[in-house]
Amino acid sequence: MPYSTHISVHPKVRGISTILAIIGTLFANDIIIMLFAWLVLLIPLFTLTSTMRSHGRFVIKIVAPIFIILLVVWGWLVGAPPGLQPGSSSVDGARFAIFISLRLILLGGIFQLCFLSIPYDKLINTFRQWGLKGNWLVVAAGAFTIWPELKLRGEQILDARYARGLTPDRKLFSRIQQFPFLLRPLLTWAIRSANDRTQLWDQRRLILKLGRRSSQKYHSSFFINAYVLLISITWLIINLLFI
Amino acid sequence: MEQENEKISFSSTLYPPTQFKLALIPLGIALNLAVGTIISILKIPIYMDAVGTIIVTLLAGLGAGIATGVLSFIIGGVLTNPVLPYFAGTQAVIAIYVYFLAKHAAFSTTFKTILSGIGLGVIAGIVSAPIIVYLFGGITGSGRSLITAYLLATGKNILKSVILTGAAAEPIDKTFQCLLAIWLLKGVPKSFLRRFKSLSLERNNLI
Repeated sequence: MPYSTHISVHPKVRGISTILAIIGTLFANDIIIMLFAWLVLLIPLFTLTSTMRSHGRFVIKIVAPIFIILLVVWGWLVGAPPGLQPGSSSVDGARFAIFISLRLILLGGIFQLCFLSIPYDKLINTFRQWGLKGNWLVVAAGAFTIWPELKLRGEQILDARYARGLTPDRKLFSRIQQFPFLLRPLLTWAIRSANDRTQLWDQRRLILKLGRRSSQKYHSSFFINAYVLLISITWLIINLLFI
Repeated sequence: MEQENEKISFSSTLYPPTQFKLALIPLGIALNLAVGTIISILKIPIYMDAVGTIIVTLLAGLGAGIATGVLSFIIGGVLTNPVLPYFAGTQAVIAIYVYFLAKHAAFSTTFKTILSGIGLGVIAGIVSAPIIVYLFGGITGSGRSLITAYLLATGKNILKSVILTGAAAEPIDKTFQCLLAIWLLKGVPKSFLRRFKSLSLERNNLI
């Protein structure tokens, strides 16, 4: 997640435009318009928010394999899109595969853009602006920060097992073999950690602290907010018109 | 039993129970993501993305279970696969199913856990089917897509193919996940588990 950049969209605008863009994409049925939206609207925004690498990974590692299978299934095996007689039109089957892949790219891309472009130091503030308060604000903040901690604990357990000679080496396969031995200590740690967190929660007045931090004024540019909102509204209208 | 209840109420007074349960949600999310990630690295053709949801539902109840499941898929969407959040509803259904079954001691023996897992698989398969059909065109890219492809090639319609695939593959995943969740909970010191004051744990012989 990037730190504050010069591009800062207000959390409420971010939330509303994401919802509008997702609804618009769910209505989209024109491959050319979808391709245009991806290449001309989404990719520049990914580049501006320095999140292009994550989006590229998503497209190459997740959507591309699905696209190949879709193409084989609908373009060749079934030879027609859903609802048509099998074997009636391989070209339409292939077009359906492209359509689904583009929709996945757009739906995933909009989601990525919404979350990955939140500056790290504005994460709590964004959740607060989205209506999360009190205990739930702490839960949401914790949920986004717990992963590195769990990873560290997992590494520690693996290191301990390696030091005792219970793991032959540090190769990937050997580490994977440690999976069952990793889970139980991790769960016990998780419950103990919940205990510790509750104490911190209570003693340090974590909720008040987070609440104060998140209620600070959010600085964002009017023009950027208007631009983002305008793009999502236009996208929704275009797709509603082309149903 | 009375002594047991005394123990439960004593330990629960140590920390505020609501916050203790809420503090478990991020950890359940991390567990969901960790198990799911390891399984995907192993390239095992099963999904293991609800173990944390099942555990948190058993420990902390329905609300915490739903929050764990839904947030797991939103965060999974940010960290690994951005189309995961569209399956968040399935996680909520898993939490609801586990919660109501746990109330009826459906995880008290291995046999009952297997039966519950099979039921969970069928329900999860049915709930996920419309999303797989609409968003993915029936193909999710996992190993089970081969079954769907075969059914589609035999002339079955897309929704029917996806539901049948789900009904065939999901019970295996979900049974594994239920067994794993119960096995993990049995490995946790009972003094820890008692702090949750959970009726589900008591009815399923976990404390």
